[in-house]
Amino acid sequence: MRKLALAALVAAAIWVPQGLAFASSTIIMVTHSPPSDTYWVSVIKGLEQAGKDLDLSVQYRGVENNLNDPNQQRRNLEAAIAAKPDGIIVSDPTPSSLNATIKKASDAGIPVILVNQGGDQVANVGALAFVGDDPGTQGQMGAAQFNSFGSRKALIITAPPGALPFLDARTNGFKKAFKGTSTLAEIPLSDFNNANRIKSITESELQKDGSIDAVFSIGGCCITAMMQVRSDLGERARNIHWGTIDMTASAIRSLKSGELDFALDAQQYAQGYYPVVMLDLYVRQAIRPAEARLITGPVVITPSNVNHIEATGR
Amino acid sequence: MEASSQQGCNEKAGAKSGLSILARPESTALVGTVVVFSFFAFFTGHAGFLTLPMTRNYLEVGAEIGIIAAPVTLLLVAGEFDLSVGANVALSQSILGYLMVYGGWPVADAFLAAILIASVVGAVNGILVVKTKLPSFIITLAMLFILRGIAQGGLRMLVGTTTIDGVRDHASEDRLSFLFASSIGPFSVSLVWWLVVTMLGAWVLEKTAFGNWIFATGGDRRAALQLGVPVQVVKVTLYIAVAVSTVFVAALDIFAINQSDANAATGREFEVVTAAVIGGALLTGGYGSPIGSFLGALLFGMVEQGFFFTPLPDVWFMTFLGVVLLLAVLVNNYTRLKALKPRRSGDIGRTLP
Repeated sequence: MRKLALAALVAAAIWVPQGLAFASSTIIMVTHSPPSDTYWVSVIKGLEQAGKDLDLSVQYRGVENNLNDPNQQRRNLEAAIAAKPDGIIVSDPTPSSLNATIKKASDAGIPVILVNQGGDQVANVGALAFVGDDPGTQGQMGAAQFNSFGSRKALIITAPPGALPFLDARTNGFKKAFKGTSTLAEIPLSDFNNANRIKSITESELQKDGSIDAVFSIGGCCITAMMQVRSDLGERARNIHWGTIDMTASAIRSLKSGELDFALDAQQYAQGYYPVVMLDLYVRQAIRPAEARLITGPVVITPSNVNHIEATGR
Repeated sequence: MEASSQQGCNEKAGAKSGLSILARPESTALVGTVVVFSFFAFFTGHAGFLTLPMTRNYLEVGAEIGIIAAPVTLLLVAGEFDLSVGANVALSQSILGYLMVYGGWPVADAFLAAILIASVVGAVNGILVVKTKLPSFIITLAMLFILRGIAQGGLRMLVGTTTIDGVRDHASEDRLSFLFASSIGPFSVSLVWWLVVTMLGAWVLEKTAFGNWIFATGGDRRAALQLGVPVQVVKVTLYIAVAVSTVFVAALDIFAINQSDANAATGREFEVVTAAVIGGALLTGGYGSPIGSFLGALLFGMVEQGFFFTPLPDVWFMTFLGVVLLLAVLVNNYTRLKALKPRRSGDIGRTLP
């Protein structure tokens, strides 16, 4: 017991100064994603870099283990309001569940920026602006790439329809703009971190349908598995075009080797960075964004322009 | 373990010395809870941990876990596990949301339907466990997958997505929605349900014949059977009680957030058991307390909410949670061993594991 008390004291000595530093701090980002998610790791890096560059204290608070836990996000948002920060950055994936609480923040005089999801909710919640991307556009841009290759039959690696709204929007955007026909390789949400399952599901779909000449990964989840499928396929892989939404280290490697034809980079690092700049300008100079929506991506990355990204190390 | 050891020990030991009050399972959990609360109050109180909205928040988290943890504690005392509770919450959310939003059912009807379905699920769990004599860990794990799949597949088949939005908006006219949607003073109504269920669980376990049967079932099964305790009835009844409790949590959840979600409450099964263990329950059966589990769930809620105000980056939450839980269990165990150390030769037979 005495040892425990001693350990607590030591912890206290280390903690107190940091706790005080936090008390003077300022911008909190509250989202629907666990911090370990590959896409969001990049957002958080942007957030933290902005904090360093502008000499502000920033903090990320996501949910634990489920990409859709509005209950926990709401509680985190309430905690953020109670902490009285200088600004709140919040994602709004389920407006019917979260808008009332987001509005509480703006009503309390805390400036709010919506990030990543909720592009059409800016006025409803009294936010300054939205910074993010549009999943429908991402799907359409992917389809446009395959159209330019002349692809006729596309396989989309994605979650079962209805599982995650933004993945549905990407898939639907793709289907709308693609000139050929498409089928789905459906990955259960619980297997999104299981590259082996993703690979075997995708390979069975390719086995079933020999006419597939385009494979599209719906997000960062499935790139590594998709490239493994490509190398397993051998000769047939050369007659297929390969593309993905999202940029990961694996995508960069595959682009450089020419095995991946394109990746759509949402540049989500900017979704962490810009909101901090906007809030800082608002707090210090009362500058409000004139446009309600700042779109960070996607841009098309191909083997010809990938080198520039690789050099940034993000 | 002797079937009535917990009760016998409590009554006799209580009279002997001040320290012996710690021999009750819930008292040791109290120590852990007070330590955790003081920790956050001291280090993060200035940042907002002590405000009313935050107190409401961690009581909400506690209720989500604790309402299920109370019956699960009785089940643990009877020597069985239930891993299907998280999936059952998701299934109940889906049923309630679908019936209210798409079926146009009143709150009461939808709620009773969900209770009925949950009772069937609980009964199936219980009957499979007592008839096959397979470990309940395996049977309820299978049930976890089955229920989670039914929730996801069923919702997708019926409405095309795995979530239903606007459940609270839809039911706002209903007279009975106050049962799950209202506030009591500054706190959510879930606190009342949590207290009622905990008290009910404690009363059943400590004051009724059925409670004695539960202890007997989890203590020495053969002795229990010889004494005429209906072991199978006890277990099936407890599985049904656990399943029914998940419907209450589901209803509170969908009214709190205005959405039904087939992916809700992932991992809740472990949070519930952890709360019970922090509360003094033994995984081997025969020992446990719903009031202790209440404190365990409260501790869980405080850690989740308190972490927000620490300066630690979010990626460390899991580690932080793990360390705090480990410390809490160690503190509990230490206090229990201290409190139960035999002081007179006559006490030796009553020492708990």
